[in-house]
This record gives sequence, structure tokens and C-alpha cells, in this order.
Amino acid sequence: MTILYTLLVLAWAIVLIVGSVTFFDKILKR
Amino acid sequence: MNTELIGVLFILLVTVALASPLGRYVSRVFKGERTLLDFMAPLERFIFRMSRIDPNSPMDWKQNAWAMIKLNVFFFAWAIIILLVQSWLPFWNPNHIGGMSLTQAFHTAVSFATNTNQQHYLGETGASYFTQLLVFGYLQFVSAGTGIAALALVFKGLSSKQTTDLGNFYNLFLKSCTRILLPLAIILAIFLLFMGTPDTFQANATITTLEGHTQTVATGPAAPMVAIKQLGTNGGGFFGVNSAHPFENPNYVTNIAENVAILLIPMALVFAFGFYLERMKLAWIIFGVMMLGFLIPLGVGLHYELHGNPAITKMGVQQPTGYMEGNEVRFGPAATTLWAMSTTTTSNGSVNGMHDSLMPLTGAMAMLNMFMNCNFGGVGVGFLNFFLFLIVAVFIAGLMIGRTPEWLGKKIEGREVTIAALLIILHPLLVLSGTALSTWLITLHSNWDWLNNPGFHGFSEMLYEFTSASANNGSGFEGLIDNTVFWNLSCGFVMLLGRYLPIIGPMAIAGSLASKKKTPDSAGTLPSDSLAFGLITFAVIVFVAALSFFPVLTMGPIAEHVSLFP
Repeated sequence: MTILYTLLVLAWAIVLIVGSVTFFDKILKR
Repeated sequence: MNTELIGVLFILLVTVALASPLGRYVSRVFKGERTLLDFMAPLERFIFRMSRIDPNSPMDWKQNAWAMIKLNVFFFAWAIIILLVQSWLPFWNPNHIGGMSLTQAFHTAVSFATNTNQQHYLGETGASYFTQLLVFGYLQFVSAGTGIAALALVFKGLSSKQTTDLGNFYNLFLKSCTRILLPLAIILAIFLLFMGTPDTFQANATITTLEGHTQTVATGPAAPMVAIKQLGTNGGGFFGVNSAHPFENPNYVTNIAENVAILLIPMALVFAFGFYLERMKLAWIIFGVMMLGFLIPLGVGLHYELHGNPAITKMGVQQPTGYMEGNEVRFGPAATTLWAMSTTTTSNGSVNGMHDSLMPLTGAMAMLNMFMNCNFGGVGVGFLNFFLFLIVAVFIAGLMIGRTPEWLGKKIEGREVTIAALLIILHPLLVLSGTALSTWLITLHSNWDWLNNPGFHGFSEMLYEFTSASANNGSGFEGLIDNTVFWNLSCGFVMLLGRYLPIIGPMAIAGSLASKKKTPDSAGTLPSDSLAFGLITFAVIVFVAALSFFPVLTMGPIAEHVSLFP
């Protein structure tokens, strides 16, 4: 269970960080 | 004047005196001009050749952001693997330290990769010498280099006439490590070595005390790590009690040197901005605003620490030297308070006394420094945070006087302000939601006894932990049993978002500004190097911090203060 929690937290953080590049780019291209 | 206060003044004056020439040097490194350390060039070329990276290829903001992310993924992976398997490595582990649990390794790897260095382990018992040097020591260089390189990209973006090229992250990153951090760290490490900080691979010493008891004295290769931990605003201690340990900080002279080292690069980067953009007046205005934001909390802290604790006075105990409980006895309350304010304003996180023991309002000031997180701040990222506030201040000031907001010849439009505003509210969002979640959980599960202190102080401990994580500070209020699945994972998550989004956002803004045509200053231009604009920026920073955090401060340190001074 701990492994699953750790992977979920890590995956969610990576999605948000990587997604922020695309998100900021979209804001700039508006 | 009190000799302790003279010590405080001396440290601040020495730091400011050193920061300006260092800033000029850093600016030359960023611009690629000739410097004294050009002899590092062959080493840099060798590293680039081995990595198959062209350090001169132009990169736009997105390419730079991806480069930063890729490098940091590598740093994290390296750290977590070693932390999990350190007990299996056959060398540099004479004390036979075991591997970390998964969540502790996750938290520690994130913590050092993000320049936070929040520690949910004890250095003496949780990390081998291999880990201390090649994971923690290494990450303390490269995480600081990441922040400085990101700032250099923003400088380039602000100074460019019209381009998409922000410079090359890899090039700036490596030069930040080899030409700024490494030489300074070598000088400080050698100094600490002569002052008594150990640097050995021998196992812990076993000694017999005067009472005849046997005691183990932890030692190790501490000097180089202590040097970079201060210079790179890292703060991760080699020993558990950090710079309150006599090996990490042997005497008052090392205390001065280390305190100067904490503040030096963050201050120098403000001057580097002025030299790079040839706008020294603006740099001095920014420096003044940051200094004001630093001196006010320092003044409040010194007042309360030097006047003693009324609860102790009530017991009939005199406090002629000020409030000493938890303060470092060798240095006195003034030096401990200066360190506490320096370490929280710069996102350093090392401590030379226990922040848990600070008077309530001094603790509140330490938190306020981390709430603002932009007065000098962490190396590189502190100025990036200030840059976000500047963008918002330019926008507000422009609206107030009815002019199109423009800064350094670049038009500030809604899209830049949107990114800046989102990132400014990210910090309170992470801190407050984390604190709310932990408070809710502890009331729901009374058997999750991670609090050693009930009431206001316990609340402050949880608030401080998330504030420290989100500000990438790393210091702890302590008194919190934090090596648990919840604290390791939640703080790890907060550290990741609190680190990388405020780096990527300013890169995006800088990329956008760089691509705009530069217009020369005219009568219609808002003068950003004026005292009025400095005060508006200061007001924006204070209002955001006050509106976001005053309610939680009243529930923690302010409530505790009122209970002490009814």
C-alpha cells in the first residue's frame, strides 16, 4: 500500500509539473 | 550598544560589502565575459563533450524548462536509489547505516533535489558517508545551480531586444556550479576545516567521559557539506541538530562566516541583476525593498528574544542575557535570532538553535519570512519569486496611473500577469491546504500522535512544516514526529510543486517578454527605479502575505503570544 501511495503522489506531482509547461504555453499563446 | 547587537550589525555589513563585488562577478559569468575562473573551461568542455551537449545552442523558454526538468528527474532518481540501497554499498559506510524506508527515501530525495533539505532523518544514524557526500553534497551543488541558472535565463530574457533565445540552461547550470558555487564552497570548507569541523572517513569515535561512561561521538566528512549547505541556501545538516552541533559550527567566528555565507549569494544575485541589465539604481531599489522585508521581522525577533520570557520571569528566574531556552548558549539569543531570520528569509533552512523554542512572535516572524519567500530568498529562486511580485506591482501601478503597464521596455500584458498571479497564490494554497489536511487528520485520528505539543503550539508545528516545505526552506519547528507516511508523502508533494512551478512560470514570462519588441523609456514610462515603485512592490508582497496567512498566524503563534502576554 505504501508503494502505491508513494507512486501515486510522485505521478501526480510529475503530471502537474510537466503539465505546467503546456499550461503556461497555452496562456502565453492566448 | 549590546555587544551581541554589534555582532549582528557586523555580520550584515560584511555580507553587504561582499555581495556587491560578487554580484558583478556573477553577472560576468552569466554574460560569458572573461573572469578569473576561466581555467575551469577545459573541465566544462569535457563534461559537455561526455554529455553530448552543445552549450552554445540557443534554446527558447520551453526547451530550457524541459532541460531543467530532465536534469532534475536524474537528480531525484540518483538520490532515491542510493537512499534505498545505501546499506548494500560496500564502501564509505563504516557505521553500517541501513537503507531508508520508501517514503522516507522519497521525502529525502525530493527534499535535496528541490534545494529544500527538509530532514525527516538524523544525519548521524540515517545516512552513510557515501550518501552524505555523493547524494546530499552533490545535490546541494546541483540544486543550487538549477536555481541560479533559471535566474540567469530570466536576466537574459529581460535584457534581450527581441528574441526567443533565453540562453542555454545546461551552459548556465554548469557554470553556476563550477564558477560560482564550487570556488566559494572550497574556500569556506577549508576555513571550517581549520576551525574544527571534521572531514574524515573514519567511523564514529567511542570515548570515555569524565564520569566514566562510554559515549559515541559522531564524525565524518562534514566540512565540505557544511560549506555548500550554507552557500547554496540548502541547509541540510550533516548532523541531526544542524548548525547547533559544535562540529558543524564550532565557535562564534564560524557562526559569523556561516551566517554571511547564508545571505551572500542571494544578496549578490540582486546586484548581479543590476550589473547584467546595467540598471544599478533599480537593483538598489530592489535590494532596499528586500532588506526592509528582512529587517522588520529581524527587529521584532531581536526585541522578544533579548527581553526574555515572562513565563520564566514569573518563576523568579532572572534573564539578564535574554531568553536562552532553545537558543544556542555559545552564541547568545541575538546571534541565534539573526540566524533564524537569515535562514528563513533565504530559504536556507539550517538552524543554530531550536526554532520550536523561539518566542511565539519570533517564530511567527520566521514563518512570515517563508510566507513572503522573496526577500533575497533561495539562490536564484528567491529573485524569481520577487520577479513575480514585480510583474504584479507593475500591472497594479500601471492601472493606478492609467498607463499601459511596461517594465524595462517590455509591455506587461494579461498573460504574464495571469501566470504571475497564479504562482503567487500557489504558495498559500499549498501551505494552507496541507495544514488544514493535517489538522483535520489529527482531530479525526487521535491515535496518530505526531504532535508533542497540544494547542496553539502544536498547530504552529504543522503550519511551519508545510510552510517550510512549500517555501523550499527545510528548517523544522521540530517537536513534530514527522517520519511518517503522511508527512513524508504530503511534504514531498508540496516541495515538488513549490519548487518547479515557480521556476517554470518565470521562465515562461521571461520567454514571452524576450519575444516582445523593446521600446525605449519615454515620459509615459512608469519609473520602476523610483522609491514609490519600490514601496508599491513592498506593499503588494506584504498584502498578499497578510491576506493569505494572517488567519492561520492568529490560530498558532499569535494566540500563543497572547496567552504569554495576557
